Amino acid sequence: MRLRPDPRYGDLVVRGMLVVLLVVSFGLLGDVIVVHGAMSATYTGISNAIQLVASAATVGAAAWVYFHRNPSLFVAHGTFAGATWTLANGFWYAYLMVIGEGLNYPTVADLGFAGAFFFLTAGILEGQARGHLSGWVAVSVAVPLLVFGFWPVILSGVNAKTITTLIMFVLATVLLSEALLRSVYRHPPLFAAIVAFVLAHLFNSLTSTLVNPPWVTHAAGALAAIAFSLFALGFYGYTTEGRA
Amino acid sequence: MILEFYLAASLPLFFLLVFLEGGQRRILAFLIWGLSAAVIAYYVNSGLFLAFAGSSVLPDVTIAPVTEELIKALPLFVLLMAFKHRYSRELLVLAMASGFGFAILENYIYITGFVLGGADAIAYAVVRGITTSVMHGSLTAIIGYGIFLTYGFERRSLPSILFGLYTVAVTIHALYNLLVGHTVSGRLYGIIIPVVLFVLLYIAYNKDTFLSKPPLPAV
Repeated sequence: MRLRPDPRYGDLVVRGMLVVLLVVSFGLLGDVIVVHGAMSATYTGISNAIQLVASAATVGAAAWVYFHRNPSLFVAHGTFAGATWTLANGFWYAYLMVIGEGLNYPTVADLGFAGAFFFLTAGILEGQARGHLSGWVAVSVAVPLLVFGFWPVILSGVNAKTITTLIMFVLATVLLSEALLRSVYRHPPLFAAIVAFVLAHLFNSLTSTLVNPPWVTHAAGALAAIAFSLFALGFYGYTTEGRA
Repeated sequence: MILEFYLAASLPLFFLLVFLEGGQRRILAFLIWGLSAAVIAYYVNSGLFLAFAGSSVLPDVTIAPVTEELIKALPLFVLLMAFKHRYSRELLVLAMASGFGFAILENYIYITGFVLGGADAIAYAVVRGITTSVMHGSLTAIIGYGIFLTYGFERRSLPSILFGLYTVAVTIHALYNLLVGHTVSGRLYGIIIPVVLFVLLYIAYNKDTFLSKPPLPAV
């Protein structure tokens, strides 16, 4: 007689691995807080690798859930968002390795990062019903973000960098507003992932735009890793418990 | 020479277009658009390359993918606006025709640029034909198929999805140009990426055939 393993065992193993990934990502954030300044090349290399693993894990988890558990449009768009982001970050990393220097901001990689914002926003619009929160809640998030987005433009004038940063702030505003209005907060890991994702990209934009960026902007990579670890966990649990 | 190549290739096709109907006409029209897109992209890229000549920007990696993917897919966006939600999976084929049209003209330019003789020239043409050309066709097809998948979606989310698909095409194109144009070992991926994309699109296009269960045998 052959004993079949409990299907929950595999589920537990996957969740365990994703939690480990999340813990490692928080470790990256801890390192930024301890160092309190510019990070070393070794840290950047490790951080990039973890970001790629986390975003690839999101693609895998979301695609698996879409095909095996629930063909939700939010999950489908999450898969595309993860894939676009993985491609963009892979391109950025490949460029760094092949050419030997970082890309000038803004570039193709930033276009790919923006693509992830678009897919996530579309996923929320298609997959999440309108919640009961008033539109004023979104306004209270949007106004400070947009005002803050104009800060680099006021400091450095209108140029490709400041305009790209402003566009990132607009994309972040739209994504956060829709996440609030469409009750993504009912899925805590996914909502936390969106907040971390937004922060990661805003910090990344500010690092590339400001002459002396605050030390906290060096947390962009760690926040991206945290965001995708949470996305992977959130999408993986999207249907098993009814809520992530 | 690009304008001469374009006219020589597209004018006879316009005559053929008169006799075709329905789907065939649409496919040929998209192929001609692809040829036209190559000319437009050539002039736009030339201007941008000059503008960034003094900087450290690698134009083939950071500029060409952005302009080329936009121009190739332009009629798809127009179709979406014109026909709202009435479109079928034929969009994948139309988009691919645009990409292949683009690649045909680009191949002419590259092949005349490399003054090779005999077997070398044939080998070069064959390699371009099965790598870069397939890449151009497949990347535009991704956008076309993506638009087909959005059938019935909320109108508000369409711009987001369209731009998202465009960024996917641009990023893969940039990665391809980086690996093929600036590395030696990466050229292997230059062959793999287009073929994998093409096979995936073929499966997606025929997924109903692949997924449908065979009929039960008659008893």
